Amino acid sequence: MSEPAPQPESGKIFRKTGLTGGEYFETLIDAPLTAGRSRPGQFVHIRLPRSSDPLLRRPFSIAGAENGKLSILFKRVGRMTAEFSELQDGADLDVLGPLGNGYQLAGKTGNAFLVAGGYGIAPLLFLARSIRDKGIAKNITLIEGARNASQLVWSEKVQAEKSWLNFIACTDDGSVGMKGNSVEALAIAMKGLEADSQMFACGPMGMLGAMHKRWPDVPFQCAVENQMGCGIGVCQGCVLPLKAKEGKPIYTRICHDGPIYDGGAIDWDNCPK
Amino acid sequence: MSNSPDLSVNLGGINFPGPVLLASGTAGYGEELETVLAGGGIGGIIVKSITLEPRDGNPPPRIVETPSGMLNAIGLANVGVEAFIRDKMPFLRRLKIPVIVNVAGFAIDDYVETARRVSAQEGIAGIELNISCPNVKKGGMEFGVEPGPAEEITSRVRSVVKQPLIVKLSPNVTDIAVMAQAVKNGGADAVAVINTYVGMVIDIQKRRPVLKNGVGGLSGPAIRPLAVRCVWQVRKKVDIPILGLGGIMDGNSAMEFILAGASAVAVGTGSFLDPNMGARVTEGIGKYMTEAGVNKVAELVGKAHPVSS
Repeated sequence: MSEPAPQPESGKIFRKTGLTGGEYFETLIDAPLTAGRSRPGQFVHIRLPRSSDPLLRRPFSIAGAENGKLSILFKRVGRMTAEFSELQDGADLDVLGPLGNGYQLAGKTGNAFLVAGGYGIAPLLFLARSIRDKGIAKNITLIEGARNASQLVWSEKVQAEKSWLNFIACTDDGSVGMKGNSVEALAIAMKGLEADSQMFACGPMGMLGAMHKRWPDVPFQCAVENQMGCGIGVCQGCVLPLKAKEGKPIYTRICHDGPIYDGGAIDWDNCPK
Repeated sequence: MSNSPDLSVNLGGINFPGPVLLASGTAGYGEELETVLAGGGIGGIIVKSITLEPRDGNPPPRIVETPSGMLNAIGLANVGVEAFIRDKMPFLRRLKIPVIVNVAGFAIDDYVETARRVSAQEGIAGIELNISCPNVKKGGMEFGVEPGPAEEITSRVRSVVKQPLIVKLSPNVTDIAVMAQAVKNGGADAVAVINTYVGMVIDIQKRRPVLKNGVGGLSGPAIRPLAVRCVWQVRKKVDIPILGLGGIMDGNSAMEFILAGASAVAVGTGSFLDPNMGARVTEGIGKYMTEAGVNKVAELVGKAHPVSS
């Protein structure tokens, strides 16, 4: 039987910060009930006040939850995020969450590799802290890849954690860090360590699929994104195909059964591109 | 004497404690909405379409947002009647509000068999017949766009169902009142007006429809005036109780449907924005009634129509 969904919480923007390039924003939201229950890999479904256009809520990965405040990181990509980015501190926000399963932290490993594509960094610093606090991995490495320096979000924030977190930055144009994508950077970093490693990722489907295909035997938890309707599992709008059983497709509800999936379970060839 | 109005309504022989139901396909099998249902303010729940066999539904993408609305092409994904009765009914039986089960199919015999099995269950207040799903290749809407087949399927299902029968009508027809008359002739106790409009969104970069299914059903506030007009047309021409739905987002929009002729209303897409939409709409209707000094919803049904001389 499915879990009942939480009730929406009336939140307020505590502090909005424009990040690199002018397209990215970090927003701290005062929402103590939601923040108090949030785990890395879960998301919040946000509605702007009194909006019927854009109509639907939008899912945002939880980038942190401390002292009653949620942190989210987003890029201005459409009308909703454009309006969201213009809201000032103190503005009301309707927050539904935390939703979804979150990363499962079980079993110990020598090396945890956390791989972000673009602003997929959002849940990964939160996850890295959780891995550290739970003592899951001896070494934690965070790899962030982006097209260029202006899209390498939060890199300074991550670098500030270098006493316990290895950080590898890479860009397609080589403007910062290694020249290349995050999968290539992972291949170098994980070389020889595959048998004693776990991979965690958040980023575009192409990057996630490439990681699974290259290292099918390394445990892999990845965050999948999709347009969502209700966010609580009732509408069945945001399905992801898992590997078929007896020739029949298995569609799983990303909002309810995900958004974190075992990379080995996903039917990568039939995912929407 | 209490100051608050009596919000109970009767729709085709089913008594609901409030005038606002949760529409089929937007409330699942109720489980995820347990806290919402426990909060009160919901008159009844219409469970997602059940078919004879389990269905995986359409490949993704299944939904896309549109101006003040959304398209969906879920494709009647459901657990099938057997698992529904075994796994989902125990929860639904515990609810304190009437439960309506929406039944869909691909041939008349499918509908009849599914409806017969659902109807035999205890704890079901009514059956809603889905002859208006735009998202499956055959069946579904085929029965909902021609009066002859609509009447036939209604009458066949009517003969095996002991509870009141609501038929959910498609707006994708020339004259919805003709369809309402047809299902009335077939023995329907009420009609749900309306299901979604068929629509399409094109991804101009990829140069193909966004939805894998190509078309989907349009819902949300975008269709509200169209839905109100449909309720009006049915009310004007056919003497049958109406469940009004299509883009209801608050008490005032619900009142438009009631004044156009709906005995009860349902919220669908609105629940995606706010899980408590149903309760809020009920509250808004109550407020309207209090301000108007009206004690029963029934006194307002169809009141926007001119009085015939």
